[in-house]
Amino acid sequence: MNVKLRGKRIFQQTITGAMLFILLGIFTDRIVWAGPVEGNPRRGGTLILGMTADPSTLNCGIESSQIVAMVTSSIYNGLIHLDEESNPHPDLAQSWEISADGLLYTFQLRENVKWHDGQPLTSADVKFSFENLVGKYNARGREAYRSIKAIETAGPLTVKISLKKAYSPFLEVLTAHDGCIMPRHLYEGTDVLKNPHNDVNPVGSGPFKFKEWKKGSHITLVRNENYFKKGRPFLDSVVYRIIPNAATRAIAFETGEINAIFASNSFPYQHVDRLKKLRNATIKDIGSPSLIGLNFNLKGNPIVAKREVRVAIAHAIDKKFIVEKGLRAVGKVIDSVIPPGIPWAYNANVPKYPVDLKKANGLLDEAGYPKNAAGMRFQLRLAFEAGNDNSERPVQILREQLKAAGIDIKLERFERSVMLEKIFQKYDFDLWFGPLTTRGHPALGTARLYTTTSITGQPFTNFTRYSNPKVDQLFEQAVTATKKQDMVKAYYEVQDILMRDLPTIPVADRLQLNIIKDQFRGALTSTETYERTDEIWWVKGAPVKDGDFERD
Amino acid sequence: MLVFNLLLHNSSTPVLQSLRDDQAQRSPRDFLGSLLENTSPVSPTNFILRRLFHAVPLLVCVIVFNFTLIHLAPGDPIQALVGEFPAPEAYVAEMRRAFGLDQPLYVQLLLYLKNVLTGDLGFSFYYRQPVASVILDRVPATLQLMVPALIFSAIVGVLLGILAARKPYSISDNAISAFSLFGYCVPAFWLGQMLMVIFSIELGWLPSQGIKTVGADLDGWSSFFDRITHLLLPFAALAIRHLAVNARMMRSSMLEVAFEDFVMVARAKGLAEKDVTARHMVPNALMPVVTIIGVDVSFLFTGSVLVETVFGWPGIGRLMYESIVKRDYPVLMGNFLITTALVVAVNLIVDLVYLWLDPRVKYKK
Amino acid sequence: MPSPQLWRQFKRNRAAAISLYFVIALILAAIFASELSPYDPFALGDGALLAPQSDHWMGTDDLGRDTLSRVIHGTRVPLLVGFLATATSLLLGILIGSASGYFGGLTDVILMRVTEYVLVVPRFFLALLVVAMLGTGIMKIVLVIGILGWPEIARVVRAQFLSFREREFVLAARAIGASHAKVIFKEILPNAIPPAVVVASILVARAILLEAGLSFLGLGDPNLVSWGSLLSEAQERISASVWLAIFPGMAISLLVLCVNLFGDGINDVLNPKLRKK
Repeated sequence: MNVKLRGKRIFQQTITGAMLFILLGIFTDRIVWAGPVEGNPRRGGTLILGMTADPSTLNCGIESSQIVAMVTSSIYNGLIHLDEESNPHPDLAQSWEISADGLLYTFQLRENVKWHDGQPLTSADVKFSFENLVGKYNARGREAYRSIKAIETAGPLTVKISLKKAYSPFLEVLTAHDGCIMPRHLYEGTDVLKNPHNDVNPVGSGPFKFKEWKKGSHITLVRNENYFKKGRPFLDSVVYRIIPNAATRAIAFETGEINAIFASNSFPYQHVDRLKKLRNATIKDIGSPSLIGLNFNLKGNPIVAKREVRVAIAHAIDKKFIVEKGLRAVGKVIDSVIPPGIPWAYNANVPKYPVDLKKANGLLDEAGYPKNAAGMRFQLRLAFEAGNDNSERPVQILREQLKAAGIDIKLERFERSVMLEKIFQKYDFDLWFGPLTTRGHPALGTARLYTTTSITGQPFTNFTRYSNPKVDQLFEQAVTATKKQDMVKAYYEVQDILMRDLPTIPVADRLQLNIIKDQFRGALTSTETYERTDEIWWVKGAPVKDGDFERD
Repeated sequence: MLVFNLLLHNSSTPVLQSLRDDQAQRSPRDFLGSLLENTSPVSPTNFILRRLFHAVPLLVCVIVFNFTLIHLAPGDPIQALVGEFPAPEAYVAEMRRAFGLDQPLYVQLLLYLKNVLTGDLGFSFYYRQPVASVILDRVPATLQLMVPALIFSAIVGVLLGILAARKPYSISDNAISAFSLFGYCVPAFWLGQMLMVIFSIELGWLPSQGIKTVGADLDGWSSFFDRITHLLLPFAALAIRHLAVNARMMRSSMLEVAFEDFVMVARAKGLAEKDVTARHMVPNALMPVVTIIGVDVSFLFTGSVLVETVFGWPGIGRLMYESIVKRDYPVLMGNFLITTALVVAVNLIVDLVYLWLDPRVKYKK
Repeated sequence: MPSPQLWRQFKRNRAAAISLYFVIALILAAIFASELSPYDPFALGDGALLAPQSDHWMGTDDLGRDTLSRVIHGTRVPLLVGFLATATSLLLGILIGSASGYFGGLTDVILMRVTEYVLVVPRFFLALLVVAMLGTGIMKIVLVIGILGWPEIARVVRAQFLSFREREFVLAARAIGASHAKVIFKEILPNAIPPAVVVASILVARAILLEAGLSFLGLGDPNLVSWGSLLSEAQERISASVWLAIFPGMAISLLVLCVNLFGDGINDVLNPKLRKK
């Protein structure tokens, strides 16, 4: 082709290329802008969360369910708050001291903290809350509150709590979830259950004030302009939308009608694959550890009372399959009763039981349970909770896996109330499979499962009736230890023993997922399931100058 | 073709006959179950009053029965409220006091009955609201689904039945009969799933879940339209079955009535076929069908639980299931009560319609 | 036992006859489910959520289990529940209906009042309540559905008793000194049973649908495969794996269809006064 034509073509291509380049630049700029934003937080915006149901109340002193905490953590404060590794940071308490023997905790409260109605928050509120509200009714922190001997208000901003004996995870309980401070002047002398401030106009000290609650529809909170942290919260308001159906909730997130879903059973796990593909959102595992495993009735069934049988069962279980298929890969395989989700206490060197059907069968033969003509050795009942996502599919898998070892499993599905009575109170079961929260500290979640004093017949206590004086001693040591390394040492040893004795075969730790649109930053993870709404900010808000807000 | 015909039709269904006997027992004159030969017509007001009078012991029995059943069942509802940690004694005591659970059973029952009379259905364990408001929040959603379904399936079903009976074994008859056969053999919730698959997932014409689009604050016509699109599929799933039943019954009934003496007399009198149908055949044929509609209402509630589950519809059917699973006794009892009352009310209306239709009563006037 | 004439009459209704054969086929499938199924219905596999293909004609579920095998095994529960529950309802219904119709008076009034109550109360809710409270298990479901089914039968039986009670042959039997029991069992009951059987066929269909509904809500027996529970599993994955919902539902519909047609056939045979044109 001749030169002129060629030149024309090159020119056209260059122009096209340049235009494309410019266009690309424009779009990339937008993409980049929507990407990581450096610099200060911005002020403004509304965070809309999707929840599965209305909270039963907004009184966090009485109710400690996750749904309640999701909302009340924005309205109220605790003395401290926890980070991803369960380390405490100041909230209402500006500083604190723990005596060397671990028996006296002294808290200095922040100055000039006001309730939403203008009254000042003082140590009297703290004392009242611990004695009459959260300290009396809270289930998760029961052990901690029971260890309190006395609370003294040495001055309007000083609280001294003395314990009967040292309890190392004491601080961890004092969050907005399990230790929320409520206004004495509104609750003293009233019937706490019927107090109108429970749902009509809660008055807290937190970053957001209650505006309205339309049951079945939404709860609206607006910025507390007099919040004790300067310049915070960044958001104008937080709205909690109630969307009971998981599919609808997932769709609402996709279409942007809601821009966050935090755990507490609100995350639509069945739709996680679709949600993972979204480009403008991030899914995080907030790391609230749990122990999903197979538990044995050690005193109630002579077959599983034998250790060899339990070991054989451990070798027959393919945990990876259970997690991938039964839990839809929303979980990790674990091999210790203290999950890796509590990294400082987790002992990776415990005895392990890899999948080995041959070994399993061999052990059962040796234990004196030969296979009959149908290939079965004995029958065991496997109980689980009806409708529990963590149990329904996995038990179907377990039945098949144990069948391969010659164990005939009879599944028994119980509705929750019945299960609590039958399994935990009457010990009428052979095997039980299900999730148990471990919380962020083994003293809170694990001790109640394996200490002799926890065999009380109450729900979620030591229902395997495992009793080992050495383990009791180690848990006691850990709780009263004043140095962290002593605590760790005790827990390491406990795990070693428990994984040899196998009252529980740990299978998985379920991920607790939070999802939030990328437009919202600052959602820190913490071992609590709610996010701290005084940290979150919206990228399209008004810029904030350096000195105008309090850094964490 | 003969086989095909035989496949679709039947001279009369077994239920039809039992219904005739049934209706004879339930007719207003037969109120003590004895067969009275000489009857005087009963005025509607008397009739209503008598039925209402009967409804009261019914509702009381329902309450007592449910109460006993629920409280005999194993498990403690208070503990079920708490999460995975044993509830502190103070908490349990407080809850029990607040819900009156610390009293002996018969006292609780009497208190409940007394409260029901004043419209107080108790306090929900789970929602911490008065039961009446929990239920009333959800009743409209269920009614929005059921009332159109009931009316539509009644009217269209009857019309289809008349149409089919006009020319037995014709193409239109075959079509209608095939449809109704399909309609009442298919489980309503599966029908719902299939409709959802076709219209929502594959074609994308209609939304699949919920009562309205979340977050979109629509009003006026857009809101109405939004609601209708959400209503369509669950409505169809519920209505088709009852439509099919009604059509089938009506057809059979019409065919039977066609050979009754009074029809022949009417024809002999020289009345046009249209008039014979409308004034003589239909009212008589309608009678057992009307009974069916009444009986069906309680089955509509059955369907509602399942269909509401499939479509995520926030109605009392789903509430019933949830309150059973959550052991929310007050809501359970209240729900049962209200549902039964609704069924009684609809049956009353049905009986009134029957009264109106009964030619024996008519001619006496 | 049905006489040869009745049987011939029945066979003339081709639809009903075909349905009967089909139901028998399903019963055989239920009995020989293990032989007929290509796979163990509970066997886990790695191929999860496969669409229908040569190895798996109806695809697989999320745990890799073959749907065809599960559908075949799933025949057992509806058939078992359908027939056993209805048998229970028949027994109860006949007992109550005959007492009510024969003795009349206060017994009748009370029993009929109770019948009315049971008919008005939404029975599915009651079944839900009982099954949820007492725990799942196939026999409990059979009992609950069976116990809730007696009113329809009782009414029909009662009507028959009312009409037959004053007939000459009954009065004659009483005159020669036959006891109540003898009259009931030998004279009237044989006449009351045919209509009851006809109503029973509707009850079977309804029991099957009730069981499917209970399983769908998660209240079925977790050790068994039921079409209802298959549909419940399908519900979660319905947007991606449509076939999981299609086949079990078709199976339920087909079985119910056959039971209904069979019932119609029986009705035609046993109720000569309501003949076809």
